[in-house]
Amino acid sequence: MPYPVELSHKMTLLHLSEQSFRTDRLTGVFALPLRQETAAEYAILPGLLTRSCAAYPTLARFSRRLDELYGATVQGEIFRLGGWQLLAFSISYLNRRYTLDGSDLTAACTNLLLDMLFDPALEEGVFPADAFAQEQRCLLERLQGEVNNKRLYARQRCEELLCPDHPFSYNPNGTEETVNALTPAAAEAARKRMLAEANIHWLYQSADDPAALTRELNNRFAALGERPVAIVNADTAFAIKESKLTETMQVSQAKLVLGFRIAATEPDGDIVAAQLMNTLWGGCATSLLFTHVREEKSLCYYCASTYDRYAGIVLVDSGIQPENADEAQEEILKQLDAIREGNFSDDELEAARRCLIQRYSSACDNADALENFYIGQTVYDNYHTPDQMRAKALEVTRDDVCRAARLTHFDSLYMLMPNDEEVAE
Amino acid sequence: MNAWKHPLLGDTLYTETHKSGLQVVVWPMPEASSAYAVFATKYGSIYNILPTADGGTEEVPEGIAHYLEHKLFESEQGDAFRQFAETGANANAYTTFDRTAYLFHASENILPSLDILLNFVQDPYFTPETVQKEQGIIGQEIRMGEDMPGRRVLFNMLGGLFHNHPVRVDIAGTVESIAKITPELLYRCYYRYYNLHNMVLVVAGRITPDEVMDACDRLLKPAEEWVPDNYTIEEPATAAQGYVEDKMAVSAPLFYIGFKEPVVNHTPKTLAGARMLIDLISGKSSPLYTRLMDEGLINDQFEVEYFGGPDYGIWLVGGESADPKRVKELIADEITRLQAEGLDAAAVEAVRRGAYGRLVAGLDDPSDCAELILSHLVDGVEPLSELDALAAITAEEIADQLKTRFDPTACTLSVVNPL
Repeated sequence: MPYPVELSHKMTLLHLSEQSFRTDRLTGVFALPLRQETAAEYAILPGLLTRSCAAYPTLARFSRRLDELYGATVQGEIFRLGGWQLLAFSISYLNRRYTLDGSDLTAACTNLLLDMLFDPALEEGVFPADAFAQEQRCLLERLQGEVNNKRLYARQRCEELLCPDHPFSYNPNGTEETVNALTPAAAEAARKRMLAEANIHWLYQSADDPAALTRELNNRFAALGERPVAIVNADTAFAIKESKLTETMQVSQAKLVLGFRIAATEPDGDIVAAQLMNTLWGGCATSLLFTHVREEKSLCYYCASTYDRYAGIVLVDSGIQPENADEAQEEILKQLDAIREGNFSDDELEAARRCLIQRYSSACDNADALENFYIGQTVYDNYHTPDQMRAKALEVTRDDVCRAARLTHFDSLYMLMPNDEEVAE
Repeated sequence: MNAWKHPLLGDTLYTETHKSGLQVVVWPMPEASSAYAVFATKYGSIYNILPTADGGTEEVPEGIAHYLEHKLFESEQGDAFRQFAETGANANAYTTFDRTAYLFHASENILPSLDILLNFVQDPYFTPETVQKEQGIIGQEIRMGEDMPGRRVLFNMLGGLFHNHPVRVDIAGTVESIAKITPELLYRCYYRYYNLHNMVLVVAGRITPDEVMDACDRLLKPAEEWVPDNYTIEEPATAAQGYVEDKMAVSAPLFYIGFKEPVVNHTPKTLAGARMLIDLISGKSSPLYTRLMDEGLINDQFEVEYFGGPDYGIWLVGGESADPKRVKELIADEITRLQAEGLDAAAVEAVRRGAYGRLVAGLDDPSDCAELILSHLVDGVEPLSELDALAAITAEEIADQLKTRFDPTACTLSVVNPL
């Protein structure tokens, strides 16, 4: 089991040195409670902090510096994990074996990432008005543009039906109203608050000794004093609502999303059994949904289930002809019943198990995937390697899978219909 | 197999043209935990005219290469996905303008998975019933694509930029065109283009060259020697239409601007040059990018890329903007200015380093490595020669490419406006 090193200021550093990639990477994961009133303030930070720093104060100069560092890549991402709003800032850079002149980029790149976080380009103590305005506009347009991806839009609407007025359905990018209300000063205050209060975990993918990095991280935080660390007690309890909502839009294909609640959540639920159940139901190319809804009935191109182990939500979505909605829904629920009752073959179960294991294993050869694998584990500070997850998947029994299906309850239905279809409420 | 150690990466690659005619490349990565194999034919959606046995030609329905990709997974013995499920490999396939590729990624049972891949791609089985069944599935895939504004604005642009080249047609075809596909047509396309002399196999990761060649020796069926004609098509240098507009349920106008490359000649240096020219003209360190952002004309969805294939090359600029026409104007002006005034030497060197580093950084995962090799083979250049070109290309060569590869007037702006 990988053990994170305790740093000062209640931070941890997880050093991943077993895989040898062509790039090394440092990522800071900042976890904060996801609240409607603060989401936008944090959401603007990835844009603001990954475009410059005091030493390279414009986007053009900062980008030129990254080119000089052999195309080092900085990323700022924001996402929702259960009741948490996660901000991840990373830099990845070529290992010295691959630079044309043999130069070692480690110190320059890790310091650049820390400069972005600790020493941003400010004017009179706040973000410059022009940079702020650009990032505010980008964030706003990203929010408005969510409707462009009809499949994701339909899924988001179903989550809102499932968990109304709950962090599990809050948009981690905030709302148009809260983004419009942002100011340069509020963004700078949010940056300071993020450093002072977030649950902070560092992930370091490199074969190098992390001692120098550890010292640097401790030094950078030394000025902050004691840090109260954010805590989230996400309420995963639920009552089934049987909500149904149909909306129309100018689309060629109806998007059907069925929302389920599942009583298997982090940190104590039987996560791996639920993952295997989900894979068997609609998570692989031999799943029951793929086989019956797509291949046998030819109703759709995709019909897939996804399991959110933090919120205890399973979404099943499919793109279909409107007149086939009832038949698709019936088949989706029928296949869940089949799993509950054990009406699936050993071959189907073992195929799903192999698929799940392959998914864990494939993280090992890809720096992005490996990081994503561990980021999800930072919030509960409970780490497992892909090999350990594989071993757990091998232990899940047929009964465990049936039980996970019985813990899964249909709650909400969302349909996005073409404009010219009659909508029956 | 022929072994050669790449001087910059330190990795050894193995290549051979198998006696069956198949071009094989193996990139062993002893430390990897998985392997990725891709078995591809140099046949994609643009091959819409089928040579016939009597020396004539036959026009085939749009979308047939993609349809064939779907149907090849079925055999008399069952579905190839089911066979891969036995090994645990994650299998898939895709069709582009110039290739159709079948692939798997596996951490366990790599060699049995390779056997399945080589077998099912060589074993077509089409019946009226199975072909009919697929129309519902692909029909929904097409409708899903119709609801994707990014796809609509891209294909509208390609339709506007090209007069005749089939790159202007959607890879999946239409619901109407795929209705004309029959088992006989699929067989004719299959036996013409799935000839091993027209195909490549690339395997990267935890596997040895001997293991790959053993599978090839056992499973590849001898193919009639056949060299496809060079792909040529009558295509004027101009854009067919300067402006194409559409409406969809979107939040703001989406656009693609396409510049047609005047003379298409893929070499390692043109591939390397494309990566650099994109950054030099409109990368985040360029004056143009700063101006577009400062004037509020683009947001972080802005993207620029080059893509080319048989007899076509396109510089693509896409994003979201309140004023796409102004974006197009500024980009065309900037290309003209740089062609006249030349490039800043320090910027060229920084961009060269950056492009080199990003290309190397993308070569960790066996899947990325194999796909890059496949792309080089389909483009007709030596594997990894693009990387060598990036390490060696000069500022003068880049300046020359800037002058010869852009015609700012051969351009189409495609816009999808909100309803």
